[in-house]
Amino acid sequence: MFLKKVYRYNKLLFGGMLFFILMQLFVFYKGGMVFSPWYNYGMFSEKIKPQKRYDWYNVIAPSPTRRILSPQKDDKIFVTLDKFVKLPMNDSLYNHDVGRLFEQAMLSKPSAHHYIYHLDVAAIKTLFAKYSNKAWPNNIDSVDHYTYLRIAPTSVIWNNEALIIDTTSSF
Amino acid sequence: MLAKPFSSHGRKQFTNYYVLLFYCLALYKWLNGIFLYQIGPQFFNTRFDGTTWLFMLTDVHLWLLDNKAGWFIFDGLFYSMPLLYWLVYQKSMKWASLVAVLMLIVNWIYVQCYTLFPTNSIEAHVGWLLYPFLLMAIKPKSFYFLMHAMRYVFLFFFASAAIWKLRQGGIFNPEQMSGILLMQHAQFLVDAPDYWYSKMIYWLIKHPPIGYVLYAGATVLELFFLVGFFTKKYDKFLIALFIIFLITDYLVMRIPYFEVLPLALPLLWSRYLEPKGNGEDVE
Repeated sequence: MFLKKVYRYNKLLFGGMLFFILMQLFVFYKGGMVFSPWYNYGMFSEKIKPQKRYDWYNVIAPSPTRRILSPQKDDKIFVTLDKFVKLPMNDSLYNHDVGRLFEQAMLSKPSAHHYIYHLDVAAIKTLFAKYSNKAWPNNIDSVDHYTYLRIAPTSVIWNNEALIIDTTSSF
Repeated sequence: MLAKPFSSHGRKQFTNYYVLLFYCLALYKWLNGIFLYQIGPQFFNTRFDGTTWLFMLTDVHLWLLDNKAGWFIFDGLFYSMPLLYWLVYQKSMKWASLVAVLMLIVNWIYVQCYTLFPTNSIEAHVGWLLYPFLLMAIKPKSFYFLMHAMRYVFLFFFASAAIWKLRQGGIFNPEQMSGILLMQHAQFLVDAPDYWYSKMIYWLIKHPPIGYVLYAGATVLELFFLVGFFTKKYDKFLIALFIIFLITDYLVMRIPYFEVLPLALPLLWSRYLEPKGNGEDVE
C-alpha cells in the first residue's frame, strides 16, 4: 500500500500526505466552503434544467468565425461583465459568511475593505473598451460604441426552439 | 519488459517536461491576452474559500488593482520561476530545492490574486499550487513518492467530479445537457444564431437524449479514473481519456481547461519502480 511505504520511508512526508488526504475528504464531505488547495470539482453536477430566461449582454461582437477559436478572448470580455454585475455578492459574502468563519475561529471580524470593492460604471466601460479593442481588433470603427453599453444583462427567452431577445425588457 | 527503478534521470526528464509544458501554456495564455498585465485588473470578486479570506487580509489583491508596475512584477516573478528552477537544477539539486520554496511562495500569491480578478477558477490552477512541493524534493525516493501523491490528486480530480454528478443528481436529470448548453452558450447563440456552431448546439439542446448520452459519457469517463487508485496498468489509457476530455470540453463547452495539463504528468512516469535503498540515487 502506498501510504505504508511512505510511512516506512519518511514519517514527516507520511504526516503531510495524511493531513492532505484528511483535509480533502473533509472538504469533499462538507461540500460547501473550500480551503485552498482543497477544492470540490463539482462543476455542472447539480441538476440544471432549461430555464425560461437567460442573461445576454448587448455587445457588438465580431464574426462568429473569429470568436469560435478563441473562447479565452470571449471569456475575458463576458466573464468580466458578468463578474462586474456580481460585485454586490462581495457584500453579502462578507456580511454573512466571512464574519461567521472568523468568529468560529475565535477571531474578530476583519475590516470590510479587504473583501468589498465597488467600481463605477465609467471604469468598467473603459476596461471593456480596452478588452474588446484588444480581443476583437478592427471590429468596430471606434470604441465609442461601447460608451452606450448597458452594464446589466438583458433577458433572452428560451421558447423551446431558440433563444430570443425579450423585447419587453428595457434597454 | 521489466520496469526500472525511478532514478535521477527520470526526475530530470520529468522536470524538463514540466518546464516545457509550463511555457507552452504561458505562450497560449499570452496569445489569448490573459497574463496579469494584459488583464489589467480593476476589481475583484471574493470567493467562498477560507484560505483566500485569510490571504485577503494582506491586501496584496488591493495593491494590484490599477497598478501597472505591480502586474509586470507579478507576471515576471510567476513566469520566470520554472526557468530559474530549471537553470539552478542543472548545477545544484540543493539550491534548486530552495528555488522551489521561492516558487511555492510566488505561485501561491500569484494564483490567489489572479483568480480573485475576473479570469478563471482557482480549481484549474491547483497544479501550480502543489507542484512546488514536489520540486522541493532532493532525493529521488522523496520525489518518487511525492510524484505518486500528485498522481492521486489527478485521479481524485476526475473521479470526484463523477461522484459529484451522482451526489448532486445531475446524472439523474434527462434534460441536464440541454440545461447546461443553454446556460453555457446563451450569449453566443443569441449573437450568432445561424452560425454552424450555434446550429450544432441548438440541435443538441433540442435532442435531450443525445445530450444526455454526452453527459453520461463524460461521467463514465471521469468515473474510470477510479481504476487508477488500484492499478497503474491503465495510466496511458487514462492519459488518452484525459486528452479526449480536454478536447471535448473545448469543442462542446468552449471551456479551455488546459491549465490542468501538468496534473497528468505523473502518469507518464508511474510505471517506474520505487528507488532502492535509502533513497539515494541508484545509478
